[in-house]
Amino acid sequence: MFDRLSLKSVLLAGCCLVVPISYATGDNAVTSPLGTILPATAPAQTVAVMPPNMASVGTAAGLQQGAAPVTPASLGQAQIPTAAVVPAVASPQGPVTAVVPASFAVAAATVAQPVAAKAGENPFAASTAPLQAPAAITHPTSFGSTSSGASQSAPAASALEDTLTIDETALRYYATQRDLKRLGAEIRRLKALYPNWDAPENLFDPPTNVSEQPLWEMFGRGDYAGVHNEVARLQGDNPNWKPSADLQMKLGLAEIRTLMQRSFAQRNWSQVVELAESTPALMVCQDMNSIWLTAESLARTQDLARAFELYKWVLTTCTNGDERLATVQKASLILPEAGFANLVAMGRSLPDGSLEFENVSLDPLRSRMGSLAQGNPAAGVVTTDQLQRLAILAQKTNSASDAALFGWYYYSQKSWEAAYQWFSFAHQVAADPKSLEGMILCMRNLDHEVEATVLAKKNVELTPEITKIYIELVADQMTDEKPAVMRSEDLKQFEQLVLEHESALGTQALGWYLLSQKNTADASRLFDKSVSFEPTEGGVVGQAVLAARAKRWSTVSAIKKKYGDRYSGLADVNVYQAKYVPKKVRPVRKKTQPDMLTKLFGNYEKDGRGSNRHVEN
Amino acid sequence: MTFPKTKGALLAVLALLSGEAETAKAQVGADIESPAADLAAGAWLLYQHKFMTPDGRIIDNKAGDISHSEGQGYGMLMAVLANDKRAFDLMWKWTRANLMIREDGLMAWRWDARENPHVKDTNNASDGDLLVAWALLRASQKWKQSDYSKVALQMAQTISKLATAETAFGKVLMPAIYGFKAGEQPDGPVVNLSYWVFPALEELAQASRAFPGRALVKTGLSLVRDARFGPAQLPADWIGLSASSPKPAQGFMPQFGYESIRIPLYLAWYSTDHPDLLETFSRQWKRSAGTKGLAVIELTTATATAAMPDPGYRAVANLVECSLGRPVNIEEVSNFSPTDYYPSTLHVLSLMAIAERYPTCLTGSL
Repeated sequence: MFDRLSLKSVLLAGCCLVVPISYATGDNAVTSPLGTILPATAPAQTVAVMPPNMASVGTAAGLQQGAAPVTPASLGQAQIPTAAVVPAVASPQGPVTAVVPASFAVAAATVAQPVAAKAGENPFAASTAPLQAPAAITHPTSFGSTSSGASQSAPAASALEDTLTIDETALRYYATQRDLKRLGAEIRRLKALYPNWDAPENLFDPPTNVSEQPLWEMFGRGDYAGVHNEVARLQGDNPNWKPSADLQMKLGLAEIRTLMQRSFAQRNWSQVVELAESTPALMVCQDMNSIWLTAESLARTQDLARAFELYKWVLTTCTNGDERLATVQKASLILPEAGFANLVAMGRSLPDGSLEFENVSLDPLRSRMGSLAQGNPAAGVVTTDQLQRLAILAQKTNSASDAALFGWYYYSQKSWEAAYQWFSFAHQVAADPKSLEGMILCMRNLDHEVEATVLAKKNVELTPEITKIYIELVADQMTDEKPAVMRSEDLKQFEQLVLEHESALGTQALGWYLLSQKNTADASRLFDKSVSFEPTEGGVVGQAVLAARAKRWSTVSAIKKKYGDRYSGLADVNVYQAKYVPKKVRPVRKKTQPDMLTKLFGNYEKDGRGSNRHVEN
Repeated sequence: MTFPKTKGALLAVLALLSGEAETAKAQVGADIESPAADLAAGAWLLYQHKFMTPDGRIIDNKAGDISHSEGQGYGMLMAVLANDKRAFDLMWKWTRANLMIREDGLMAWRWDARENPHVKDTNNASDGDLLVAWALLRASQKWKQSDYSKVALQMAQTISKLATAETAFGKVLMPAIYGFKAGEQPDGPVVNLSYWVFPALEELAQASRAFPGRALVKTGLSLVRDARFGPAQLPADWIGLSASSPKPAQGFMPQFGYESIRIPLYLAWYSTDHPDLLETFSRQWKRSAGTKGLAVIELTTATATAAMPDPGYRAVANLVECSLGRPVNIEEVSNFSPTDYYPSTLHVLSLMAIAERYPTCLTGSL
């Protein structure tokens, strides 16, 4: 039970435990969510996807040989000659990545992307025949106005040009004179000259000294009711006045837009759709939010076909890059993956040769990796190909978040080395305590405790999590069979730290260390402190051992009575020579791991006191 | 005194002939270039300014700013004649989105912004459907857009299928699909002659052999001739056809009023071949000239019950005079100044009918 060597060997085995990535990533699975059948040609020993050119952690240790999934670029060249590992059978993705020149890799990934996706094809339509009428599924006729959208912008522009140069003086004069005959003749004349020209809408607006400015300001504030009231008041005073067509139209649209937003908030999906159908003026690129609300409402009512068409319409018609991207992102949350993939495939080629939606197309993968990293195997499978694509992108775009995601993903797969590389890459791109924490945890799991401790100490006050890890690391070393002799200055610092953070674990570990240094008085004080923070086996046994040494048998009995059931270690404290060996902290790994991952996703369980966990099993 | 009159009649015949030539031109959708046409186009602009919302809805200001299929049809028709495609498309878009919510391709007749849903009653109004179909047909001819005529002919076909009936008096146009058939009215079928948009029936029949427009025109004309009641010998707004001869419909006031005034409007627009029928109306209006204007006539006693003083109604009377080849008060009919929706509509329509059929009537150069 307390055999230290066996414990240590178990830990070592844990470090070196090799989980084949193919197993973890589901490489052996036949189908992927995209419906692609993967050839069973994946190399027998699949390799973690890694950022290149990252220094390996333990250059000295012979660990790499054991940790098969770990192949940083430098190692990859040294240890896994491409040709050797990937024989004639074509499997361009996978282990090759790290060695392939970056540019080639990107191109390969780009080509590989639209596997099953058919750009713009509506996977939810009942048939492949052209969709037609009722509340027409084809967007532009049902929702879009014919006068809106990019395709119409040219005539609109030329009409605008005409308007700028056309002399409407006579026209306006006839209108004010109500000389309808001459007005009609002038319109006929101008239309013959400028076929795209339309008579201005405000021809008959009476000259008035009513200023619309306050109305527009009210409108700008969203006080639509106020605009109505003010218009009514102004009309009461000026019977001939009416608000400009522009204001009336914008007010009308704004009110419907507001109503749509409210209906959406009330989850009245059908109402949202009705409003969109009856207000084509809202279904334009300039009113992207209304389009998004409508598309989501359609999807919520299971009308995926029309939702898809609406998204597709945006991608066909609208040009704003951010909005196009957001459209695809929204679709990814709403549409089943097949539809999403077909939208992604509509992405344009960017000047730099990449595809417009390359990044967002990997969102489903990211979310699966995230779920898997959180220990949810139901999240689905990820394939090496997919990982490869994301890895290339993450490096190309220097994405710290993707790199960190890789880190936690591989961490969950116990590919410590790969995880370390990714964390380290992420931290290089953007200094981040989480990545730092990942690095420290990986180093610890790779048995590079000294390096881990150095890094943790350097950043000990950065986050409570790092503090906790640091205390664990030091406590681990202190409770080693032959702990390294520590400088009294370091001891003082550590004591201050554990007391300040009320760490039961750290405090009792320090106690055991002092005890091993024959400093019984301080050890006793620290055991008491530790138990006062939280009773743990280490702290309680420490108290018992000291009491036994002092032959305070009644105290020993009292402790045994109180904690005997909980801590089997107390059973050994019978006689003065009781040989209690405090267990190492290390077995906590199994417990620590989900903690760290939970933490990654934001709800780290506040457990800073660090109970001494050598009680398990 | 008699001589000039005879001379006038002679000239009127000449005018009629030339008018027919103009008509032939108008019907292929060409722009009419005449002061009368310019006036009609100018009047449309003013009408649009007053009654069309920015999104293409024609509002009936007198009925609480509601809209109906008929108003959309009138507006679209006017826009075609005024060569205003922008307004036409706006109105058509609004109509399609808000009124064409029936499954058969016809329109719900009434739309109210204050109601929710805006359309409470999805029944149609056959004249509204006819007007929109006609406007679409003319728009397709004028602007060479075949998709418009496709919809127009589909609508006509549906009207023929769902809103016509065979009666002892011939094929009739039912006012709506529901509510007027035998069994739905005590003296049903009940018809409304002002729903017979004669020129629309004729032009839709020209465009589609399947549409029984001419049979409907025939019945309509014979009903205008025969369904006249009381001392004034005027048609009733609503007519019951259950008996062996037409009678004022039991469920409605037996009167010649706001509805029936459109009969001479459409008739004069349609053809110059029926001066006898038009004379009936002209006579009545001359008679009531003493009371300074048109009025709703209670038929059993031929009493004027409510004045119709609006210049828009006078414009219809002037159109009839034009059709009959008689001089009109040009200044009066030309002076379009919007009042309420309905009479203003009749005014612009009269100007358009004059421009199309009797353009010289407004030049004063008989």
